[in-house]
Amino acid sequence: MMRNWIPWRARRLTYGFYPYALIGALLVAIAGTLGPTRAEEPRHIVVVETMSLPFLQETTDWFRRGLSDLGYEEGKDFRIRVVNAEGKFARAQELLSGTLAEGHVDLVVSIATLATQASREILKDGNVPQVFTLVADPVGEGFVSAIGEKSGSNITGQTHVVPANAKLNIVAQSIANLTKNKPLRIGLLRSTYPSAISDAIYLFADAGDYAGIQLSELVFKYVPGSAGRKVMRATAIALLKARKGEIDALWLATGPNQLDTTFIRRISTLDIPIIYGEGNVAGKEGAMIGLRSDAEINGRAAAALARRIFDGALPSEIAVTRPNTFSVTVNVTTAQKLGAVIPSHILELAGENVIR
Amino acid sequence: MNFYQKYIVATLPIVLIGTGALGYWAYSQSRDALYNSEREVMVHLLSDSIDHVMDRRYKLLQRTGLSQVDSFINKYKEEVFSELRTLGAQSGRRFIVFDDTSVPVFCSDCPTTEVPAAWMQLSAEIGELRSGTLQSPEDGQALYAAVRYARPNWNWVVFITRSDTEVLKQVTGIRLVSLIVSLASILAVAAMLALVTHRLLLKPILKLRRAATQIAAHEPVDAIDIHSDDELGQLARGMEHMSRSIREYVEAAESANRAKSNFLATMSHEIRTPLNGILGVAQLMTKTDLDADQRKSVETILSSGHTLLAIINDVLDMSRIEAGGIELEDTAFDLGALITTIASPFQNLSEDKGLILIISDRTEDLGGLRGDPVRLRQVLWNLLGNAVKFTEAGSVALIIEQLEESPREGSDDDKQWLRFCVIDTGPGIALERLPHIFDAFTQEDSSITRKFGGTGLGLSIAKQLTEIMGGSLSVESELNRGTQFDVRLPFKAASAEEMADLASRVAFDKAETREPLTVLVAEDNEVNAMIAKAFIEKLGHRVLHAENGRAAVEIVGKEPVDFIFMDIHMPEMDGIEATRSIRSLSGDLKMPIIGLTAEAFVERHLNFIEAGMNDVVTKPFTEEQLRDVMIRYRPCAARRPNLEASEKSDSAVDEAKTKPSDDMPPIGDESKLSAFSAALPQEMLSTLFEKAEHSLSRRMEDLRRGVAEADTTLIHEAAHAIKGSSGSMFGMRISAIAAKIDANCTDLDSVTNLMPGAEEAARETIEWWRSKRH
Repeated sequence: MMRNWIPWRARRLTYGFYPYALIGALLVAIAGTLGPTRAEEPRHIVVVETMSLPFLQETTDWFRRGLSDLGYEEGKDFRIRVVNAEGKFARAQELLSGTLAEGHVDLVVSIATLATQASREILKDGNVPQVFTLVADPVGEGFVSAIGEKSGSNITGQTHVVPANAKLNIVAQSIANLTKNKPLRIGLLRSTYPSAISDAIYLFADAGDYAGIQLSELVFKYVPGSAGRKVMRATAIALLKARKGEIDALWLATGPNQLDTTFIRRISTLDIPIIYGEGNVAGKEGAMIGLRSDAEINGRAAAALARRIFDGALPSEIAVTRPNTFSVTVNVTTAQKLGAVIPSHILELAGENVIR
Repeated sequence: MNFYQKYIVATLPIVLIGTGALGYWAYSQSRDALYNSEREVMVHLLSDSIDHVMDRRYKLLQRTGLSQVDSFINKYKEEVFSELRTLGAQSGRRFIVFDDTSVPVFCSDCPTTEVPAAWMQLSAEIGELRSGTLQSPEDGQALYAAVRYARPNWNWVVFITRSDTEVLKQVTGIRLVSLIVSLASILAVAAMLALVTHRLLLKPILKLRRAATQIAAHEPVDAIDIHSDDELGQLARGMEHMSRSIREYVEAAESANRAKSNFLATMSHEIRTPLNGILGVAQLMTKTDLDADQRKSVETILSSGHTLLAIINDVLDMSRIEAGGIELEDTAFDLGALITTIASPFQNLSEDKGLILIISDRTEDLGGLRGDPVRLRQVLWNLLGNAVKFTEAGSVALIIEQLEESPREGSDDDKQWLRFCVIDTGPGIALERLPHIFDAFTQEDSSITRKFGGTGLGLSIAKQLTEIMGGSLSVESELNRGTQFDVRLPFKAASAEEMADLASRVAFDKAETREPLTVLVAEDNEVNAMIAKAFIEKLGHRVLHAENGRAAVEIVGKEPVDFIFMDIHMPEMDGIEATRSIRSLSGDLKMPIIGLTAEAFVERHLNFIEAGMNDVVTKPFTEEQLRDVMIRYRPCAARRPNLEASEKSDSAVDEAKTKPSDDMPPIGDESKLSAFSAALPQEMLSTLFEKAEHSLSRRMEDLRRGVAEADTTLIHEAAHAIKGSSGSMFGMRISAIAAKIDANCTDLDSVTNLMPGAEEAARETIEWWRSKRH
């Protein structure tokens, strides 16, 4: 499906960037001139974070800055209350319900899949608008029928996940010289966290199109909370040690573990090349290729959706989308170690995110 | 080719060359511009390729610390070659990369793996970016841009090239466009030129040509529709002026010509009237008892008078010809009879001079003709007259033959061309005089005039009459050997009815000329009246005389008159008025009224005929002229033959005719035949005898059939032909008997009686001819 994939960054840097930048500048100028549609009372926004991870919290911060950049002044035009579910579904529902009971809420912003699921349970029969972000599989979660479609209810949002086909494509190009004669056996290491499950589903669905990639699953149970991280690290290490001989390289599936530096660092000690891992953390710890949408991209996208709703649009009329910009990370040391030659256009896409 | 076509033919090459040169200039400019443009494009393309294809990757490797990693370097070089290959294919140009030792490492679309040596040699010279043209034996001429890309591990010389052929493909397009534009320009220029030429030149020229044609046709041109002030406009004004001048000149000339005609008519009348008296009286005097001196004096008067009359007639004929006043008759006539009447007088003249006159009519199969026998007679008379007059010894021959084909292209197919050849053994004409022999008032030598007399108009008149009749007259001559005049004339064929009518009239003429008529002669001149009266009475008719027109009208009112001769100029009432009165009073339109006038011009005669006269006889007239005109216009009642009287009166004569008398001429004239034979080669002589025999046999057959079928026309034609053709070949007896049969062709009994003599004479004549053939 994505055989003729064109790198997003290249597109943005060439013909895509300037029109959007111009339109954006114009919108900012207009916003600055006219100002936001101001209510007499500030808008009450509740942000429900799934857990206390820097990436999630940074997203909340970029949401806040995004609103400010759109002309909304915190305290005057809006007020935000951030609640953290600590990775627990019930906790999320409890916090949100309590907040709703305290007074009027104009918008609920749920960050990551768990918080979004919990919030949805509470809000689905009401009329409080809900905007989600960092949800890996909104279709699989039943929030919308397909990416690009409207939910038809009071929820809208944006997934942060890079399409599986795009990931496979860029990895396949990077290891093309290694897979001329036989495919590379790649183990997909994932937990049972929802976003990791959906990521695996999509990867396996598209992997058949790439002859040089032979995927196999390495699954361990997701355990919430800080204690759970230790458990998952141990479980994953054990799993890898047990199946090391079956794989040539490792693919880290999306999910909370991608954000656990310790988790990745320990895995990298097993002398199994990590061929794909999202984010700078994974790249720095040895992942050869990584694609992700960062906190800024997702936070600002959620702010833009909030503004449309404040301006009168209904969530049911706003299509669920994914970001059109991703950042690429390339670890050339891993590539050299593996014997892979990264094509120049991928290396250029990585820009400053080339790690040695 | 008209002017317009000439103009187009002359202008078109100029336009073609001009437009072609412009097109070539545009083409060469475009080609040079294209070459320059191509070099610039290649320089830019090469610079961009260096920056975005090579240098970008080199810098990327440097930035990422991979500049020394061979796998990356090699991979990225492959990427470079791949991109150059794509770029070369998309741009239609070739990229060639050499390493620092001038070994080719890449060629985007070389047909073989080997790069032409010329490029390798050139690569060693390349440093900074430059462009140029390279001629290589393998690739031909090519444009190129090249630069040396010197980086660690990337030490290359990069070429971008394009063959001259490829560049010229674009030029071919330009050439095609130039050609189309040039052709369109040519057409446009030609169309504009044609339009401008047509409007500014051709139309005025056509108008001028039309005006010139009108002027040439003596039509007035008052204004030519050209109003410009340029040369053509001035020419138009000039032509208008010329037309006016010509018209004035023509009017003046016509006026002068009318004055001349009036003068000639007056002088003619004034001369002819007394001449008529002189000749008439002299002619009458010859019938009286005169002693020898008196007769000689009278004959001198007659001779001098006839000479004077001939001179006057020649002058008048010339005047008529010059004035275009000659009108030709178109009547049926018998050529044989005409030739006989011409030849007979010259027969005697020739004998008197000791000459042999040969008449050879080779047109036996020819039927009757239509044309102007009078003018033909005049032409032949003139030629024969000259021949006899100038030939002192030897012979004069008239040969008539039929031409198989028309001597002129495009002439009427239904016309029969005849050749009349008059040959004499006279003194001949000097070569230098021949071109002027037909000029008016010209004779071969001025001494001729003194010796032989004449006006020098005869040949000129003959030639002009011949040409008016649609024919030609030419001459060949050699001094002291003789002269040959060649007349070629077209005639229509007369119908059988016309010839039958002609034969019938001739027969009746002979039978009825002695039937007495009452003839009124209106003539104020007593001498002329006396002469006319004497001539007419001599023909056996009763004559009444009126001194003027009024008296003539009164006589017609009182007495039965069968025929009137009417003078024109008479006191109290002229002939024209009298004729009108007689026609109106009597209501008799059939009574013949013949004008008698000394006015010789045809246009005047037409006036008389319009007044009601049947015909006009010019003075001085002869007895024969009066007899002929009376035969031609005798009253219808009188034309009914009085057979009884005729039989009685002619019986004695017929008796004599039917019996071949002892004094019949011999079968042939041996002496003339000897002289004739001496003048001709034997071969020709044999042919002539053979033809004569054949003709006589065939005509005798016709004669027998005519007698058996009682066909007087056939009898007349056959007898007439035998008389002429046999006589020409000296068959005296058969010719004489045929003449008798011809004269009595309407009397079948007489003809029947003459036939045995004719049969015997014919047989003997043929035997005689055969004896002469060997």
